[in-house]
Amino acid sequence: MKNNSQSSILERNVVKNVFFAKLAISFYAIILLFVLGEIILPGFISFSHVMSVLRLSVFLGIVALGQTLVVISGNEGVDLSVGSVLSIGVVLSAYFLNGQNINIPKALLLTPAVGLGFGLVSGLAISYIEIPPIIMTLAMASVVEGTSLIITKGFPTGNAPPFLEVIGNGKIFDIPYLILVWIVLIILSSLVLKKTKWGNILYGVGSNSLTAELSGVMVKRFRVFVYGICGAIAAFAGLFLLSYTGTPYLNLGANYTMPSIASLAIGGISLAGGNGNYIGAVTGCIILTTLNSILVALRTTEAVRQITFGLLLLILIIAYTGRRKK
Amino acid sequence: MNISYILEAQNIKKSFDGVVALSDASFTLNEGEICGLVGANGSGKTTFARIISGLIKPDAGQLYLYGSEINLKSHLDAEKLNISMVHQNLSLIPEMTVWENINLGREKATSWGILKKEEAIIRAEEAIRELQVNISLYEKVSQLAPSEKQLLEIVKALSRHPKILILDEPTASLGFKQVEILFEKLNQLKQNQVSVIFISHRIWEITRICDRLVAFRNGKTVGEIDFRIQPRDERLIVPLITGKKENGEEKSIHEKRPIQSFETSDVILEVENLTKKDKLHHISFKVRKGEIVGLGGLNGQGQEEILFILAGYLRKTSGKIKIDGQEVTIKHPSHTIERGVFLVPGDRQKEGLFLNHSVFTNLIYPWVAMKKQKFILPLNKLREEANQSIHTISLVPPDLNKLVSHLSGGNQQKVVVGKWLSLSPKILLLNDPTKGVDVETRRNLYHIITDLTANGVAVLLYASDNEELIANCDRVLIVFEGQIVDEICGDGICEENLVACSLRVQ
Amino acid sequence: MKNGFQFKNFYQNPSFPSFLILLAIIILNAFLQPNFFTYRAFKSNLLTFTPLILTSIAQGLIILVGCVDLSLGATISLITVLMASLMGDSVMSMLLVVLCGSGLALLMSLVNGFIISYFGPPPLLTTYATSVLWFGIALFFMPTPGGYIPSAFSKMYRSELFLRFPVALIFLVGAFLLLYFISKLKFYKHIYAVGGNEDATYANGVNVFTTKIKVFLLSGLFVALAAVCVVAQTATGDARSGLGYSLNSVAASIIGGLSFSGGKGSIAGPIMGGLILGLLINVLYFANITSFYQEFMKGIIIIFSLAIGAIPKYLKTRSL
Repeated sequence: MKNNSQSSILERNVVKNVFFAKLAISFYAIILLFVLGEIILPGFISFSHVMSVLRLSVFLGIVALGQTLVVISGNEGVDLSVGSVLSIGVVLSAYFLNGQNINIPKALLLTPAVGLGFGLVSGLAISYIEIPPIIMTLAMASVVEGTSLIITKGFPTGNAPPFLEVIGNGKIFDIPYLILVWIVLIILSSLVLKKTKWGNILYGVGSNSLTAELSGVMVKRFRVFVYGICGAIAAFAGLFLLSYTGTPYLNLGANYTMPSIASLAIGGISLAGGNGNYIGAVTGCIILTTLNSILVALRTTEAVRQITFGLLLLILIIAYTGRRKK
Repeated sequence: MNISYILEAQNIKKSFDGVVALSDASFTLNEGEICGLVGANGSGKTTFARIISGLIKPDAGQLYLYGSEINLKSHLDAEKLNISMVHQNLSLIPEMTVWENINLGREKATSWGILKKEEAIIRAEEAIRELQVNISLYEKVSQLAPSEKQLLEIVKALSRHPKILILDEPTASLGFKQVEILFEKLNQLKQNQVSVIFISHRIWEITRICDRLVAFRNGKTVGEIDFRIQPRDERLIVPLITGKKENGEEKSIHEKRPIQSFETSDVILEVENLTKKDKLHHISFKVRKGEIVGLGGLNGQGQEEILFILAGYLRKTSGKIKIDGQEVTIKHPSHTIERGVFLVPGDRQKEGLFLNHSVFTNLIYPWVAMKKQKFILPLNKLREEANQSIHTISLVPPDLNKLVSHLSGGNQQKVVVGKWLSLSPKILLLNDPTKGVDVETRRNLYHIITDLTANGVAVLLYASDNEELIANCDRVLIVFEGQIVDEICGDGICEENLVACSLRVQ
Repeated sequence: MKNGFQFKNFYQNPSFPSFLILLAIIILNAFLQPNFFTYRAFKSNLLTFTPLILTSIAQGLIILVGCVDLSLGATISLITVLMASLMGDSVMSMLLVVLCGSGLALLMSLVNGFIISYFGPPPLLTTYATSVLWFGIALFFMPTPGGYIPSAFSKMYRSELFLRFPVALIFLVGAFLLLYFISKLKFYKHIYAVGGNEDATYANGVNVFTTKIKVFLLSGLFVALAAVCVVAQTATGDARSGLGYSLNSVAASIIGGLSFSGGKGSIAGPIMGGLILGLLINVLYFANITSFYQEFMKGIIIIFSLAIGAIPKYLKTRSL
């Protein structure tokens, strides 16, 4: 009996240790990057600069939340349309808001609704027609981008109202409001994932969809819903991005898709599904954004950044999802 | 190490994940003879065959070919030694044609690599002529009938001109005429000094075609019959398969369930003319409250399909299902679960568990999945209930946070059963629930089940191990080729009857 | 029934419906595009479609063996960048550079093929990552479109041989001949076997690893050809020139009756699929759809064709 409880404590600690180890590595990586940044660009580690880097991570972070949900849901789930949905979110919210505070509720409702719509279509095709998620969402990205072009005819209109601009650019006690919004989001999502019916079902669906089905979950229907939520969240992120930029631009989201996947991989979330914590994605986002700002400070070109991220993604994919040849 | 034997196996042992498949298997084979290999479900026949054909490696024991010891690292090694095995559809590519499949892996080509098509076709023609198979060489394998696919596998093996041919249930899907042709061929092979190991449940075939037979039981060789000396009598074989019960070792580990009458209990499950295309034909039966009804018969006769249809996972083609007297339409497991019909699946890792999650997550999952549950989970209450469940199933160690993948097979199975306990089951469908589970856990699980039946829960049990059926069922329905062919009750449920009925022996 | 040609195997081939769709699309085009059947229109279509058809063949081979390659487009981009950077005016230079480009294509395909076959990560994600990598490298060497392609080179592509036989057609015909030769090899059967059922193929003693590597290398060859056509047509190197070829070639293969699980369909399918896709885009143009709608419509077309490809599978599972 004694041995049993001893070994179980040990095992429990091992499991917790592994998780915290991954988290610790991520934290060390962040610190390392900031140190590197300071070496390259003195003043990097100043409170205000750290805050502004963190603020930049917020948008990626929100997009990564949706991506996390999709990846956890299994079936090799990814959503490659998040960047485009983010873009159209920016454009749409600018249009709905039109610079008026009074339009905020309307924009808060309608923008994510459009994202939800796009996501549901992707989800339907993926679940019921069984088109692989990567390909479906890649094609969807074109559709969304195209829609963006069609409705704006190349010239997006509208802009963020004063209240939102304050949220996007303002600070309280020197901490940007956006970061606070993100913290709220992190807490909310952790609660939802761990303590709600929905979150628990999600983990099961991703871990073993057959077991989930035999336990009474309508797996196909559920997955459609997950893709819908991801779309809604990505569009929602667009609203916040607008609050930061003030005026809309086309294709603002182009650089968010690939990093949203990379951040999950860095954060140790299994791309096979069934496991993972949004906190992991958060650390991944911070690492990526920091890395990106260092690269930008080094005046590297987009080319170098693409190569870095592509290589990083490739290595992570092999490490996390590869099986050695039998 | 007798050189006169072409193949000899001594004291072969093999376990999978701690469950013993072969504890002491021995076997001898002479040149130019057809030797049968018989035994009940789970006796280790197929494991043994896979070892000889190089698919898996034994944990211990020796294999000798012509007196010299051999060590097979893969099935390709065995092929080089002219040992060929025929399984059910393991080596056919469905979307390719018959002639392409026959030639796959041994195509003749020019120095440029161009396939010599005419030669390939001729070789394929010759091959199918061996067994007088009447199929077009240009037909896609996916379009063939199961019997034709089976013959094709045999034809492929024959085309490799083996010295030792292993046939595992070769006649399972063959018609009478095709079996005749196969047997003719086997006799021909005999005359050409080829040896055949013939594994089959069909005792009447064994007595017809084999020169000798070896019997396995519980992973051990328990006997041999040489038909050149003894009469070809089926009744000699059945005792070898079933084993005696006086000897202490063989004594039945379980106490038998006391016989009781259920005539006064309500019928809680009624199945009428349940049919599923190609799998089930007009299955009808009733289960009453508190009853444990077993589905017996050889593996793969449709028992699993019955359970999956009742669980809502497979669709039926026609027929009625009534629960508590009301006819129900079932299109999804959620429909049956909300009526209190729960399935304990057979492959716990694939169908019953979330391996990388905790015991707690696994236990509460069906509860969480039910439609009526609230959005925010009452985690404290759930933890209490889960702790209770752990106690009921005697989980070792009783730790809610342990990862299920770290549990032993038996404890994993306890979790699979346990997750349904707190949901007030009305009907429990058990799909071979103790496959690969240790004795102690088996006892525990059946205790739980019998306790449930004392409270009026009805149980439909499919077990590949006859002992389980004997110890736990009030009635056993024997399923054969998708139909219920027999019903055994009460005292009649014993090994001999079960085996005899499953094999259709009079 | 021992005859060599079974009509049933022809019209039951998964790629057969695409043949019908192709006929329908041609008719539609004939309606919308004036002078569709003139030589000039034919040649102009040919020049535009050839790269897509070649890429679709490359993708088709990979899909047949059970994988997918999303980096074909980026590969084309990188090769055009390479060629535009190095090509000089002499014929020798042109030949050498084309050879280099082909070598590079083979190398990139080998990298993909090796990683996928040896480490076993999911092909879709892996090739998505390599496509980002190739794109980055292309962007590195040529941040803005440029480079130099001698006018003689691109003229050659546009010109005609005796009897008004377009040079571009030679590329296609050459590719088809190569394909025909390959279809006669025993290796070709192995492609279908690996795509159909890897485990069963292994059980038959066929080397799955080398088969996959060979397929990737072969597809690299066709991609190289496509890149030559692209660079000849645009006369520049452009890191973004390959955008769209990846997804389009997948869609072309699916329209052509291939299945993501592999081992099903004829290699003629992606060819017809590429034609169909090209003609569909033509339809867009001639139906006077403004450029704003084009991106949108292209995405819709791809989704639509993927959906159509999945119909037979859907019908089959309904009966379960």
